[in-house]
Amino acid sequence: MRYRKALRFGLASMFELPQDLVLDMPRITIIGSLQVTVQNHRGLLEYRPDRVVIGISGGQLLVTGEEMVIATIQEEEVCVTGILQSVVFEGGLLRPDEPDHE
Amino acid sequence: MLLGRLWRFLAGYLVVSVQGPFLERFLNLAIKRGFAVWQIERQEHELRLRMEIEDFFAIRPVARLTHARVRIVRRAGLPFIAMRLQRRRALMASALFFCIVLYTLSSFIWFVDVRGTETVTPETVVVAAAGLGLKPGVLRWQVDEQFLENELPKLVRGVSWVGITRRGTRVVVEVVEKELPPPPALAPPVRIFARKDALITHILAINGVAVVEPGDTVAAGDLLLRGYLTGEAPVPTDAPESAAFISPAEGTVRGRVWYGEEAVVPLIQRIPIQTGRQYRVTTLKIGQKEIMLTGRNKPPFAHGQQRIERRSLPGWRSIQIPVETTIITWSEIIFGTERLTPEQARERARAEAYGKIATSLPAGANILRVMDRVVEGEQGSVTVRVTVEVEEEIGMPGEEKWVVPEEPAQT
Repeated sequence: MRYRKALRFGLASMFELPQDLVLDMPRITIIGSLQVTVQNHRGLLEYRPDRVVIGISGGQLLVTGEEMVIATIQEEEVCVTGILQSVVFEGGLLRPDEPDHE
Repeated sequence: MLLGRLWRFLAGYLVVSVQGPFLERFLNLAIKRGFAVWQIERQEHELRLRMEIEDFFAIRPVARLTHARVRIVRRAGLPFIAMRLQRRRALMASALFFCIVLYTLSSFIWFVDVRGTETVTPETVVVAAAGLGLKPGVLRWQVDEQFLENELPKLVRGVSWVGITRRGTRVVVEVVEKELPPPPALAPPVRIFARKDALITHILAINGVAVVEPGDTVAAGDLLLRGYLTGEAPVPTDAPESAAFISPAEGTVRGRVWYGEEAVVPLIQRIPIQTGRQYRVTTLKIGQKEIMLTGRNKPPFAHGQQRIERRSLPGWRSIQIPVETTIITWSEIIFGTERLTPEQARERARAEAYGKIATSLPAGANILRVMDRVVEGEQGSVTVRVTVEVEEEIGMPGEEKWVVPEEPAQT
């Protein structure tokens, strides 16, 4: 399994394929401090008006802010709106040079 | 996004409150099972979210698995609004009735306005339009504007173009009139009277009968010419019936008329003499305010002539600079005396008297003779009487005996 993942990473960078598709990575879109959209998420881990934790491949995404609302939530995509303050990656995350984190 | 919201409104949705210990887990499981939820808000110990109506019962297994309790807070969207309205039949019926009445009433023509008429009365246009099917109460789509625009000018005399515009329930008929030649003046049975006292020189009756002859003297207001009476006149065959009744007098009457005027000229004349003394007043005017720069309001002498000179800055386009200087130059005048010889005085009096007559002569007057004579050699002055003999038109048309206006200076 190890080399297989390394191979996929290598292929993705070689052919300039979108890494979120090939590597099962989240694609995060932030619009100002109003909205954050996470595609390819792993479920909602915690939701409070000032704190949203979204599971992503290999870790979690911590969004802090005020009066946050989950505007939409689907299997692939979750969209949080409100007054955003920070978006933080937490937990072990994939690094380009060590693709076999798992 | 907008389309999604519109669809949700049309389909209707529920606002539900979810309570339980593992709300995030409830959400994750719900979306995993394919339920559509949106606009999720956390409120203390509960989750407020929106979902489709059909999903409400289907989502209960999810709730049971996550120990959550799902409760409807609000029902939103068109189906619920419709449901509520269904319960209010009378309101719906009256709303529908209102719409129908509004539509029905607005499909009739209520007003027909005519614009642009000057000599033609608007009523004739309205009547003609009604004849062609345009009148209040007619259905809107029965009005054939093209047809009316073509036919109306043919129907109404004196109209050359008609434009029809409809604004809602109002039809505006725009009319452009023909430039008609002036109608022939219906001549009243006119007679011709003398304008002033005169000696008739020429008389020419174009139509009618002359009452006086050349050589006759007439007083102002005397009858000179009269029209034909019925039967007396030769009636042209193409004349309208009424013309045969009586025809108006027409013609010219010229006669000699005398005008007299007197003038008095004293032998000692008071004449102004310029002394050469000058006085200058300069003022500067800014807007409405005047400032005296040099001099005072009045010159330091009793009599004087003034010459005013105004200077302002050149304007540019519509901008006028409201600054102006005025220079008033006073020239002193004193009065001296001049002694005239009787001949000089007589000449002056003659010219003055003649001038008075000349300005009052009517147009077309032909001066035949000018006579002057010294009336009385009063002490220290000369009085001259000038009489002018003139040949002029003395006829004046009128229906009644003409009343002489008071006219001064007539012999």
